[in-house]
Amino acid sequence: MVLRTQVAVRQRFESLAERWREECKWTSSLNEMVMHPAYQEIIGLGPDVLPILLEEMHSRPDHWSWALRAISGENPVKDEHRGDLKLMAQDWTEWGRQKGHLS
Amino acid sequence: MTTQQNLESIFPGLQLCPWEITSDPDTNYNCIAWAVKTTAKPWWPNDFGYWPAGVPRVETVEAFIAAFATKGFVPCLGGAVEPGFEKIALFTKNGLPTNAARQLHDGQWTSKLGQQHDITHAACDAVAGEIYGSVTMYLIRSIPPDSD
Repeated sequence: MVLRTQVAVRQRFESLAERWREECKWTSSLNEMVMHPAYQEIIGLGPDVLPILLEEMHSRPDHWSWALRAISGENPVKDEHRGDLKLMAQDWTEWGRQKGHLS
Repeated sequence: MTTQQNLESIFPGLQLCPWEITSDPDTNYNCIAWAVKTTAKPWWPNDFGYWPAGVPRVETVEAFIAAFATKGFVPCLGGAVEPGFEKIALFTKNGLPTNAARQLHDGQWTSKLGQQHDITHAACDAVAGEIYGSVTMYLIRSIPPDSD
């Protein structure tokens, strides 16, 4: 049952993330990107999507910091890393391993 | 549909002037960063974008002017070529900044289209329209000695 839920969450995430990338591809506004309905729905998936988001951030850094912070209630991104997708991904990966969300 | 045709359907103004794609899509920077000649980080005044220290992290034209000022740009009257100077055009829609284009030495403009390509376009307003709105302001600075 847990596995089925994980599979369903991953499928939903991938569908929403694809829609988000497609519909935000012309915008430079990071606010518009994180307020997009698909992005907000990803946040709404809650803690179940956290490991998936962390994996995604690690393998394909993108603007997931807002969602990760919204779901986890934490923000490990160093001030000097703000804006740099790769460095923010490193901060989140390190945090995910410390919290046991990533192997 | 080719990438060129797709872009011309999304930005119809591109059908009216010479233009070309100059980069692959890249999410590591955005139009504001590209306008100030950096590709390291997207510039945007939210919690996870780069924004110059001391400039309010608010999505207003005034904050964007202040951000460009950290690179020496000040508001000016228009987008005509002025030898020895370079310009940025700031686009807004519904009062919110949406895009910036940078003038090249030959008078053409270069824009980073969101998370997608960089392009050059002969007319500044070729990317105006439904997505980016219109040019609200031009900014100018002397071309730095080390400028490419």
